[in-house]
Amino acid sequence: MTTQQDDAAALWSERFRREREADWRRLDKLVATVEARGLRALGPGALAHLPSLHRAALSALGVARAVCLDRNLLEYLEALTARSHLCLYAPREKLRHALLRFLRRGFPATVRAAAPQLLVTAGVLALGFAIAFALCSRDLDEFYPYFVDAGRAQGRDPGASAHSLRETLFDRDSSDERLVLFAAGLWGHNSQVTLLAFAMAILGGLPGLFVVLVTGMELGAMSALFHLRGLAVEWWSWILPHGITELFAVVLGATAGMRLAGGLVFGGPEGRVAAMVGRGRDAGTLLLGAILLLSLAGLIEGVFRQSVQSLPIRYGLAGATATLWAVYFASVGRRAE
Amino acid sequence: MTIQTLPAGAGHRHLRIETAELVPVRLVVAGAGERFVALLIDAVLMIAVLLAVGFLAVSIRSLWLLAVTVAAFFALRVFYFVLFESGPRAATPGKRLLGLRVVRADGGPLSVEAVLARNFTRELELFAPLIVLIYAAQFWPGHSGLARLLAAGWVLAIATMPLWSPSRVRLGDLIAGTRVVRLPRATLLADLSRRVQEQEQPDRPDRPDRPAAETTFSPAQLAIYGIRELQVLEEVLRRSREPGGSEAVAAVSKRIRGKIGYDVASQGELADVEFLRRFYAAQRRHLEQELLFGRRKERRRD
Repeated sequence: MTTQQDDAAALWSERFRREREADWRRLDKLVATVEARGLRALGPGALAHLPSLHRAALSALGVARAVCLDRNLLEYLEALTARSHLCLYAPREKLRHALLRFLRRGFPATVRAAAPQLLVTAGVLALGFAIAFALCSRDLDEFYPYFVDAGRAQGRDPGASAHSLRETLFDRDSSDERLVLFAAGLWGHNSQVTLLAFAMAILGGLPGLFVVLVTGMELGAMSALFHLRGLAVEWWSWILPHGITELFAVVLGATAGMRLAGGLVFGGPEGRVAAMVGRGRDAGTLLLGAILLLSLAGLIEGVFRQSVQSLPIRYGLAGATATLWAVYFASVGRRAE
Repeated sequence: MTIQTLPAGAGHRHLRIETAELVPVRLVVAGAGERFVALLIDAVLMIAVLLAVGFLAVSIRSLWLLAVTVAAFFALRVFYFVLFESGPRAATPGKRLLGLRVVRADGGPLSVEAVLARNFTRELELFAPLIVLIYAAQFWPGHSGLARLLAAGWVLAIATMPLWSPSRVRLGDLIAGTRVVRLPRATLLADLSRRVQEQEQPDRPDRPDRPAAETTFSPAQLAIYGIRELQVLEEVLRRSREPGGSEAVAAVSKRIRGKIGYDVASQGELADVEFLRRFYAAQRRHLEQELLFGRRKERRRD
């Protein structure tokens, strides 16, 4: 008992599909090309059509979801629109451009934005240093093992004489190659420590500060040791050239984690998750920066530390790195702000 | 753009992306198993590269190359993922093999910062089991048993996040606002109702709606089933040529005939497949008309 209305109904969905199928197939082909070879593979004409075809497919999808009973067609449209959406919103920035943008603007700007928290973290580092230094200066034998573990000390402990300690600061015969190997290992280790600081800091902020505190304490204890043996000037000439960069990197890592945790705890105008995600992306920037800094520090530490012996040069290098970072973070990329 | 993950029919979860055109796009979220297998493949690849370079370094006795290997041991763990996920495919080789891809949860373009952020937390997910347990033992001496247990529980929760979180996210995904989805694939097959009409009207293409040999179903017969059943029927028909398809066709046909009270005398003798096809065409026509009038019958019992 088919009626005129039934005819219209059958024709309607058939007509709906017939009118649009050619466009869908075109979109399918364009999307397949983009998926295989990237957006650049499309000519200017095709590239201009892609967004409008996508929009047409989307509105067809909207209608189909409401009134289409052909499940295959619906699934096809879902898949097609999803694919074309991904093509249109694919990452378009080349990695090297992203890196340049990071160096020129992203990193210094993010560091400037995080300055208050960075100062807090640096303060905790200084606190750890001060505590350990004070305690060890008072009674080296008792407190030293508490702050520095034997593996990291590598012979630099209260039992060592001033002479042997001095030897660790001025090693006169290492080959270049071994130094590079040493530097590579150090970089890996230090980067892990920074990422650990970040990771711990995510867990509520305080664990990250704890890692920073412990790092400061270790430095403080060893500094006390060298001070008490009368090797203060030599010790700082050994530490500062790479230490400034390295400590800054660890502080960056811990701060990144803290800000993330802060976003989650305190929320933001768009809710906790959005706040955390926004800071998460900043954290990525800060951490990448920290890792790059550490590679520089590792280079300095591995290559220059042992092979450059003269004190003035070492202090000069330390001053140079400090100035470099001060200038970089204070003024690079500011013009855009 | 909002984020919504919805459970969907076949046990897959969907990521729903609001678009500027106000029609949400749906992507299937990758399952924990798939992601794990992709990770394994990537791990194998990374180890292979490291071994190759290390072996080369040792055999040609180059300390420089060895230094590179040592640096690569760390660098590869993070930057392997970052490099591939920032590329045009937004997927590492392991993910590509499994047809997966990284996307931004709110549908926008995936930024390098997001890729970095989601990968830097891998250290936490790997190291955490070890580190937290060690610290727990050292600094809570009085309660080391309980502390260790709590710490272990907490860490296990983070490490297994993909298994229990609704959108199958890792901690890194949560922080960076990304998700891993399956690449959508679908082929457009012919319209089933059309096939009926064309078959019945090979020599009258201008009148698709009144074939001479059409079976008519009464409105009462067509009013029984809903949209779900129609789509199941579509599935059965599309698979009728596959192994097991004809048994399904016979079973479904028998069931429907019984349910609607199909009268062979007045409505005609038909083979199972043909019967199903005609019933499908008629049922669809009927339901579409109902839809156009705003009456949506989802299931038989509605």
